[in-house]
Amino acid sequence: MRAFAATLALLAGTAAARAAELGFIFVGPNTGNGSGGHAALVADGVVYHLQNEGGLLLVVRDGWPEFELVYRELENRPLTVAHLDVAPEAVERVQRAFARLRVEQEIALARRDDAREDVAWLEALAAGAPAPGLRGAGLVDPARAGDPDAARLRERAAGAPPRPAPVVDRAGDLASLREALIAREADRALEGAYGLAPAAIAQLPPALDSPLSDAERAGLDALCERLEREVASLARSARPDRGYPMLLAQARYLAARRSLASGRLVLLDVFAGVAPPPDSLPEQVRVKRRAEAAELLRRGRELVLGAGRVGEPDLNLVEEAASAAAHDGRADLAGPLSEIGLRKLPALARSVAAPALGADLGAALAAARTRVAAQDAQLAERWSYQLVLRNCITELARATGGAFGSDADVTRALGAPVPSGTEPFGFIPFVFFERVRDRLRVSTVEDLPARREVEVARVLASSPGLTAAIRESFAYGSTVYEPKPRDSAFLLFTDDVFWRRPAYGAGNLVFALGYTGLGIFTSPFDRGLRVGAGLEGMLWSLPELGFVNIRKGTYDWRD
Amino acid sequence: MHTPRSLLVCALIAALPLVGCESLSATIQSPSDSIAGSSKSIGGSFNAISTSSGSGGKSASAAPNMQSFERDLRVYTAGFAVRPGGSREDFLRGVARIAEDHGVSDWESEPTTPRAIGEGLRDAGLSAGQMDAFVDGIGRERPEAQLALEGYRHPGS
Repeated sequence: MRAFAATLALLAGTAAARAAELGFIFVGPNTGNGSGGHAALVADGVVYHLQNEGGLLLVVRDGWPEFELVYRELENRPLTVAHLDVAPEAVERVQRAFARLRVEQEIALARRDDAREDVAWLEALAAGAPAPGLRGAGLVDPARAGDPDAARLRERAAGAPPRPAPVVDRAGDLASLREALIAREADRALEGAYGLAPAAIAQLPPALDSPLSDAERAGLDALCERLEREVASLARSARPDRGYPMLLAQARYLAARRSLASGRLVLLDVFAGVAPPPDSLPEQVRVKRRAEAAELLRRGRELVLGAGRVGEPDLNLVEEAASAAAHDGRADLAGPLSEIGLRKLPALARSVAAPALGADLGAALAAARTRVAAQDAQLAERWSYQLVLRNCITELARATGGAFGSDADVTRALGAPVPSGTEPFGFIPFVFFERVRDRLRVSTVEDLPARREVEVARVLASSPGLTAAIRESFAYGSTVYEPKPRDSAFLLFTDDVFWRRPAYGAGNLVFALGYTGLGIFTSPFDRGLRVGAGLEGMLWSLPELGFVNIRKGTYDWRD
Repeated sequence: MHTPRSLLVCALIAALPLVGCESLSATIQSPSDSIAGSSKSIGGSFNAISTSSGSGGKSASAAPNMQSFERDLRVYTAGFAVRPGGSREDFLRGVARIAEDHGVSDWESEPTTPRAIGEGLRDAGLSAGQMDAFVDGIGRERPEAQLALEGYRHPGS
């Protein structure tokens, strides 16, 4: 499987080469919102950067291989990395500063999520509608009470003392109410020996449903033993939110027991209950996607279950791989790219009867809405995106510099204070990056060309000559690129030429104009797709007239 | 500054609204960006665990995910400890949120959890006496108390 081999090669090579290093990354521009370029920081193979989402600056943490894959390979943007000559302690301090920033944001977003959930609950209760689903309650099914495997779990976890009935009439603290209800549901599931809900299981394609190996059976036995201990421990736990992990442990146990009984792997679906976004990829890319998911699952079975590594984070990875395989290879259902693994836990929800609240629901709802507004305001005050004063560069610089106690400390660690994003034009990514190169203790600057540049060089090395060079300079003649509407309509690549760029840009402008004209006639059939691509094509041709390249084309997949 | 870049500055100043930070959704220009990146995330994690000594505990080659969990929980604990007004429930909910972000729901059984909390308490400036009282409160003989103490005494080791 070439895609996965490439993944492993990348991981073994590039990522390892960056271990124990600190560097700033400049990402070259391309069409779309990346037209101004982008900047990030890499520390020990982890990339930190900030992105504007819905007006808020989100702190994003990616592994280097994922970052490189998306920006350099698929988005076809050149990367320049300024590696700093720093001590390992400085790298750790910077990583901790970004962790602090990210955790602060995560907690603030969680508070807002809770406040929004309060509103949803109160609206449902006020309308006499069923309460919103409880997270994890849908993993097990009350209609399947008395399940033999669940009864076995109840027996094994028998050391757990019965829990007092939770207090549930707390309209002023709905988060606690939800926690109490989930805990009650988890206790009921254990006591009533609820079976596994069919909707909670990842439905693997038959081709991937291979029999369990002896090593996997041993791994599943070990998993069952761990989960028996875990359920017993969670039943006694004093943590207020013990219900969800207890339900999850029960469901995982039932899945593992069913695997052992059937000889086929049964895993929970981390995407169960998630509405899939539209899938507009061409079939040839879907085929590759399915193959990659299948390979991930095979590797996960071998590395985790086959090796008896049945700790929760590792098991969760296999669940993620199985879920992607069960959903046509789509590993994106959990949302946009996330850090090191998707880290999406199975959490199928189910509505349960909520108690009648003694409080005035109207007043409680008004108060809850006020809390949401307050949380939104706090988030906006702290994280709102402002073009010049608070953007991906200002916060990147602030967090890096703030990792050290004073300017003197920063200077000792990095060679100079981190250039501020609020200096004149400092919010422009490459201006910031130039200042980093000029001022900080940079040991090396590494240019990582965009994918097309690499592929064209490979083609020209194997078949040198003017004909091949001319062919590859045309979007419609290239053997290493396929034109797409999202890249805008253009004829000639201008990223690898300079003096000829205005002439190429003029050619692109004329081509895009003609493309737009043609698009007017095809718009009843393509919903204006060609017109849009043509207009964008004209827009991105304009900088080329002034020697500036932004448009580079993009790719769908990396083999 | 190089000539092409100077030209780019001029062009970008003329088009300020285009220069801003990338948006997360727009960054995912192609539907496959997200899928391929996510697949690579899973693949990368498998590769990491294949070379690590285990998902729990502390080791020089601990999986990046658990290193990241430890760091996140450490800074969270340190921040929470010095901020007035937080309740026990608030703290535990924060721990749960961070743990789930790393694929862990049962954080009580992860040795990384008490260790990171001990490290965070040290970062927050807890004195040795205060830490002793904290450990006594948990029950000094319990493994999690010992792990918290170890984290406090040898942070980041």
